[in-house]
Amino acid sequence: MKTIYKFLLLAGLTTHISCNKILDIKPEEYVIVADDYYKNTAQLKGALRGTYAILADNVLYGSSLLGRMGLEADEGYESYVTDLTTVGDYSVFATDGKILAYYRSFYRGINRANLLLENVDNEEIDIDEVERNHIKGQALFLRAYYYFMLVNKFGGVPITLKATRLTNNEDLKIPRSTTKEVYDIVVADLKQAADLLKPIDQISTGAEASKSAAWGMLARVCLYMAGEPLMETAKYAEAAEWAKKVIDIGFHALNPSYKDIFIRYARDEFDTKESIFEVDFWGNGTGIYTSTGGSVGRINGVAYPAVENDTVGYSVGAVRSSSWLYNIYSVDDLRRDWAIAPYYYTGTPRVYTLWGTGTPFQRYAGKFRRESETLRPKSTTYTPQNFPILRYADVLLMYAEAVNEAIERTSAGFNREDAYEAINKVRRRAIGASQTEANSWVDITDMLYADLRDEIKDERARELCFESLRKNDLVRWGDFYNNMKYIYSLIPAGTSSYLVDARTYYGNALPRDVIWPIPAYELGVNRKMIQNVGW
Amino acid sequence: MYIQKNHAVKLALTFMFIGLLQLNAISLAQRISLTKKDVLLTELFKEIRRQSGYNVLSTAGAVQNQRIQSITLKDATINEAMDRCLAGLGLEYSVVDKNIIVSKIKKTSVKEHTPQQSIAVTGSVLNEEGNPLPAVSIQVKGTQIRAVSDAQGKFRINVPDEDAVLRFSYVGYSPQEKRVGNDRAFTIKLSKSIAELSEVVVNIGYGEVNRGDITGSVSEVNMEDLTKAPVASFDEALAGRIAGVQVTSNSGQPGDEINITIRGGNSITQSNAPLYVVDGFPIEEFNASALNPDDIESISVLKDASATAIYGTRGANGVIIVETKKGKIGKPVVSYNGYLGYHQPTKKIDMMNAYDFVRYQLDRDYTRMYDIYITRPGYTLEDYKNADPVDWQDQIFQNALAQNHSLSLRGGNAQTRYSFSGNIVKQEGVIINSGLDRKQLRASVNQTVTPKLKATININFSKNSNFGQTVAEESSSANSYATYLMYRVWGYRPVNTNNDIDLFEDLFDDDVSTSSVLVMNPVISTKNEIRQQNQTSLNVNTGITYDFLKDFRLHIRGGYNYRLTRDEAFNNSKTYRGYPSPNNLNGVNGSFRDIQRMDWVNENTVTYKKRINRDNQFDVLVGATAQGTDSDNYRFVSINIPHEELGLRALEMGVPNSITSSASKNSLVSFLGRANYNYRSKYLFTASFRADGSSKFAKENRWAYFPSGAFAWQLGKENFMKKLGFVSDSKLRVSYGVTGNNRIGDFIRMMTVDFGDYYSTSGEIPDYANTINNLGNSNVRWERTSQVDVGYELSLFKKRINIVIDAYKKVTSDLLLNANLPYSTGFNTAIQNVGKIQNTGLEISLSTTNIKTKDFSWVSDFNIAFNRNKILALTDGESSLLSAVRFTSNYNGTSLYLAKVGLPVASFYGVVWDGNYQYEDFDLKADGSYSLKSGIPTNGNDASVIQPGDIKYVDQNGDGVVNDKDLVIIGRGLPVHIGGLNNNFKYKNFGLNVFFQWSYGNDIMNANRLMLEGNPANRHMNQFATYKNRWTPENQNDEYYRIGGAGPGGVYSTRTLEDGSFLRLKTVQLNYTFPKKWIRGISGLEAYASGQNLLTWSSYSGMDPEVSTKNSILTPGFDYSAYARNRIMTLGVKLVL
Repeated sequence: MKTIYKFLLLAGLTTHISCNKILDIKPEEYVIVADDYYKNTAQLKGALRGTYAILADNVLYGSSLLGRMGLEADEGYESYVTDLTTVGDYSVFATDGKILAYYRSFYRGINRANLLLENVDNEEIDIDEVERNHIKGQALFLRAYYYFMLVNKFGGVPITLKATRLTNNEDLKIPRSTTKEVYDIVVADLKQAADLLKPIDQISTGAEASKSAAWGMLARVCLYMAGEPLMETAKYAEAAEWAKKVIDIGFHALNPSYKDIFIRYARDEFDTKESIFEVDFWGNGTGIYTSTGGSVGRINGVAYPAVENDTVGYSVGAVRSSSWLYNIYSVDDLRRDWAIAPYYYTGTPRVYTLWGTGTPFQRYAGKFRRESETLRPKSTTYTPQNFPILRYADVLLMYAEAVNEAIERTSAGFNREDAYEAINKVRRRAIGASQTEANSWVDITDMLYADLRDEIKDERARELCFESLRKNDLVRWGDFYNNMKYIYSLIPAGTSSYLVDARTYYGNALPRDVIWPIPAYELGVNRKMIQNVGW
Repeated sequence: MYIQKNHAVKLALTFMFIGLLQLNAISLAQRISLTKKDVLLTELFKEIRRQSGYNVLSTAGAVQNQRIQSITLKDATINEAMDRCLAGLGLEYSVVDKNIIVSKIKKTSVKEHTPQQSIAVTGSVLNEEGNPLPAVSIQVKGTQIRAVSDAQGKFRINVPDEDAVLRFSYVGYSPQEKRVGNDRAFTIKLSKSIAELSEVVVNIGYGEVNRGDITGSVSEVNMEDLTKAPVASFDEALAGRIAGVQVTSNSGQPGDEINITIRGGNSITQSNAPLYVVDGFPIEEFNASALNPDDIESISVLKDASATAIYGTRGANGVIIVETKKGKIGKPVVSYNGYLGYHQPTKKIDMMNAYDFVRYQLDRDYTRMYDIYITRPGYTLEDYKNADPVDWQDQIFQNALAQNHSLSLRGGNAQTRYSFSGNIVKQEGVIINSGLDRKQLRASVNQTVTPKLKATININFSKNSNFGQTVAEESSSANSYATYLMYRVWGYRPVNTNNDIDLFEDLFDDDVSTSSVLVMNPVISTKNEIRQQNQTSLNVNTGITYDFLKDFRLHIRGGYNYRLTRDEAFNNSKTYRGYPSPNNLNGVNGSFRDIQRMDWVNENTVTYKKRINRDNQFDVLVGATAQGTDSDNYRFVSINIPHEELGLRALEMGVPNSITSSASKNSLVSFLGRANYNYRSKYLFTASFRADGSSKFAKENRWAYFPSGAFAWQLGKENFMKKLGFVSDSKLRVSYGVTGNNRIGDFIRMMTVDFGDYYSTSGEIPDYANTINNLGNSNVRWERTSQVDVGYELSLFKKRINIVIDAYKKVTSDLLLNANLPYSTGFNTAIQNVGKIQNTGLEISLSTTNIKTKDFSWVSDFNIAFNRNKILALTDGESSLLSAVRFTSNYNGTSLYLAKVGLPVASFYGVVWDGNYQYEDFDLKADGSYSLKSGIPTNGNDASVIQPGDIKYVDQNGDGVVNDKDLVIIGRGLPVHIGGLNNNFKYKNFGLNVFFQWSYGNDIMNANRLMLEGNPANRHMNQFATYKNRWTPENQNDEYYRIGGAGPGGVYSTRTLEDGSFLRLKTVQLNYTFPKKWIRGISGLEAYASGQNLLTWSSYSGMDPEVSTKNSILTPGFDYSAYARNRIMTLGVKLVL
């Protein structure tokens, strides 16, 4: 029997020694372990591209934000059968898939930024300090923008400034911060980013964040904070200061041709004087670059359903204008017939027909036109057109608004003339006139506070329509519900499908829709979350 | 004294394991030659053992100090040798298998029957088919005189007198007795015993046990019945054979995955597939089609924790043990089994005929259709009543040829047993340009090196090809529902009036496709699609057993399994994915993927078997094993390929596109032990233990321990039971144990960097964006399933009725769940040990011999299993989990399935259909139009567009609109019970096998009807014939909504949810065994006709109720464009030389 024990002991011992050897498989030979990564400039830049790529996500600017989530508000409405009974026609539920995806994607971006920020200062990385700061600045800029996009749609959301690690399941459940706390994070990140980023004249593209982008975004954030729901009116003055910083560097100018701004987006050409920050889409989805193509022009262009014709390119035509928007343009405003296409397409081969005298509700949003694209061949699914996030015209209008509001609130040191000059630059360009020379035909002067305020509101619609900004503007002004119901009253009778869609869209809007519900999914997995009022 | 005891034990063990040893019985033809002088008898026996391999054992003191003066043997048989050795020593012997037992001739027998007076009797033993039966034990009743039949079934025995009765017995056969009388030569035919099952040994993993001594829940597949199904791999025929084993396939596509779930799913997001153990080699991702069912000797299924715990971490999903056929001692036997047959779809869907189609199109789009179908050809609508429409199902389906040939050579002698076999399968699919091919070879050699050392090797090589486009998959993501093959087959226009269009030759029907949504000719695209998966597997499995000391056996086994899966795809310009268009800028494209997987295993076990005394015996098994898997995966895609006529060979001419490469590795080290204790075969105890260490987990969580225990009480052996004459056997079993599951990615615990995305901030060609998509969880550890099983077995009336009932409760905790995370983490899911799930069930198996006469017999096996699955917890705080299937864009976001705490893993979730809106729901307005009455809820569309005849749903919450808030549970994803009924009839030389299988209580979402019974996209396509009966002002009904009345898209309702219960005549085989006298020169010939999927009773309106085209644990029972299930009819022969 002893022999047996000896044998077993020996067998056991041998196996025991060898078993750890067998079990110790080195993961780093098969996968790239994150803990060992981000050790050189190329790896940091790869991570930065990953942080930017969120913007191009299909559920954000890649498609959903281009008119499928009700952000056009009083400017126009969605008419797209795929999006019926979703947030796209203001049938808003906590279970909405697009709202959930929006929430998820921005947080994914925040985590990517967090991870990059944790690694960017690593002393081992051999990198020029200016370059390091620029990368860090971009990460901060993007994180701020992502939180900003969350807070202005959901109110206070969970704040996480560290890359997620799974140590304890409970730690993954973060309660909501207040709206104010989130905005404060946004402002802090943007201020830091503004210090770190390169000035815009040192970078050649509007797809990369710059000092101008950070300042301009600070102006926007401050305006939002000054309005509903925070009503921190002191922020108007701050907004004006940030906008002024952009103006004062003297680099920026409006593109003399309004439509050229959008033709350049379609052609993938940058104009950093006007277009301060934009989402870069690339290619037509051929080969490996399927995630870099977008839907600008395909979703929010002039409908053209045929696939045979390669001269226009397929377009859903999901966004149509309201008659109100059409009517606030003066007849000589060149922007009208660009922003709202005066024509439509039918048939194969394509037939171009001008709209008649019918209601403008049938007209398609026309800013982003697929016929402007130069890339061939054209895909039915992907377009290379870029999409603006911040334009100089917006900065000018923000400046005008901020100055007007600051003066009204007795903030010292502001001159209403500056406000007129800013808005007039935009108005002059709209009729094709020189933006620097006074133009009595379009210039406005000497208005009462409220009149100027209302003029700026309309000017923003005229200039910035279909750029996914309107609903937020209406919300911060407190105009959302009234305006939606006003547009509803303008819809003519009739059972044409687009009129049914318009009635659904404007009819469904409720006072609670100034904000979206926290996705039901999130409430399900994180019991520290609380739903917004009304859902 | 010591020696005596030693021999006594050996003797006892010999009898105890008689059945086991018989399998290894040795030919009596072994010749012995020796010349010895003045030698101890024991020395002589040693020499005999050396030459013959026979152990010579003696009862107490019988041969001590016995000497032989002189002996010379030349080519003597063992009997001759023993006769000579023992002559005149007052000793007799008997042969039991490889053991010769020598004992003193009892006083009385010496007196009455001296050896000189005995009568020599010879004969041969045959089985029912008339083939020789070796190793049959022959005993003179009431004496110790024994003999064993040799390889030719021949035997020789000396009997005391003519009144002697010979008893012939052999495992699995009914024993027979025969009085010697005047005969000196016998031919005995043994027939298989009815209660065969209870006597055979069963493989329970790392060992075998007599059926009667099993303490756990182990079921065996009756291979003879199973191989009656004309299918290429055994898993296709497994459904309904064993209680508690659910077998489903996604559709009838050749090579489609077969899903086996034992006693309900434990895991919500990870695999529920059982562990396979083939000839002792545990394989997690087993490819059943690498094996020829004809090569399989036995399949046993380990179900309860007592049985599976020996496989520890991988046992929780159940274990399927497959043993392949080995050579048997005897002359070489060549067998051929082959069949030819054809497959056809079990069903076709009734489509609209020409008249109904045209009438429908006119109703739908009068102006345009009038022009196409009336004006252009100059017909009237009535003319179409005589028109002959194209049924595209006839174009796409074929009566497919199938052939299957198996050839084997098996045989062996005492030292060497061998088995060589090969198999060729060629099977066309029931859809054109699809099918499967298999070429398979197998070799197995068992070698006795010395009586103590045996070696074995099994080699299996197979090459499988499945080809044909995947019918249940979209071909393009835009309007994907219209790109599935069966939609195009059903929807394609049945009549054509345009001379410029050839419906059969044109890739697109220009009368139909004017918009972005193209419907491609189904026949042309199917003929042009190249999809092929070639799988090459090589499995080598080798082992040695070494008997050392006494009662110990060492078993060392090594195995290597290599599998190369090569996927080829080529999309030429006549296919959806290759047709160059703005939808497909990749143009003609092709891809090539290689997945290599290498498994290795080393297992070392020692068994110790000990019989302490008559009443107490035990055996112990201990072992250490190590196993590992290496895999890699490479894929290459090429686009815009010129010279498409060259197919895959043109890949190099195209533009290189995405390239995928990955590799992975895992390993597992285990220590295991099992002890069985048996008291008088009445009380049986089993305890097992396994410790597993896996590389998939971090060091501190690596090891896990899985104990189990079981007790069985052979009630039948108790006196109070014995008094009940009709009870032949009765056993009660109780077991408890813990098993595990480790089905997660090899490096899932690590946070890893991915390179799947691109972005550019420069406007230039985008560059890699590295991102982190896997959060990693270094805390992840084993999933544990604890299971209690209570079983009762009862055999009545000489085992003519056998009942097995098992009740179990499984609770799986620390579920390896790909758990949902708060999205604020930046991640969707992470593998975590959260959640809890419970399966409780009842299984009943009943096998009966209904009729047994000389010429006619009827035996049946019935089984039924109920499993109730319940989620006890999900991710912390989460009460439900919604799942959608990807089918077509506006449905992709709709969650059709709900998994909720307190409910099964999958329930159908949707709105309740309420017929159609009727006129009474509307107010007639002055202008003649109808407007929905206030108070009547809308169907989700705006009230202003709802018209009479539109689809109507139940407004559950009464808020006047049907939307997300009106979703309720509308059906069951899992069946209430499943089962099978197998019948074997035998009349003289005819045999008839009839096998039924069923599933009861599960629902199916018939998504085909969403698109083809109402045409929601309002397209110029054909519809199911049922849609004739749509709502019109003249035909106001509640069944089919009016044209254009589909309501909002993306809604699943009870309208298309159907009862998926079915009863199926799964297999029928009629065979005829040719009588011996007709077939001189060959050992056996049988002809048979088989059929598979012959009849189905089901209320399901789709092609087949056995369907799940988007199958996962969370999303069962979805049917859209399933590959047709095939009905198989074959004719075959079995020939034994």
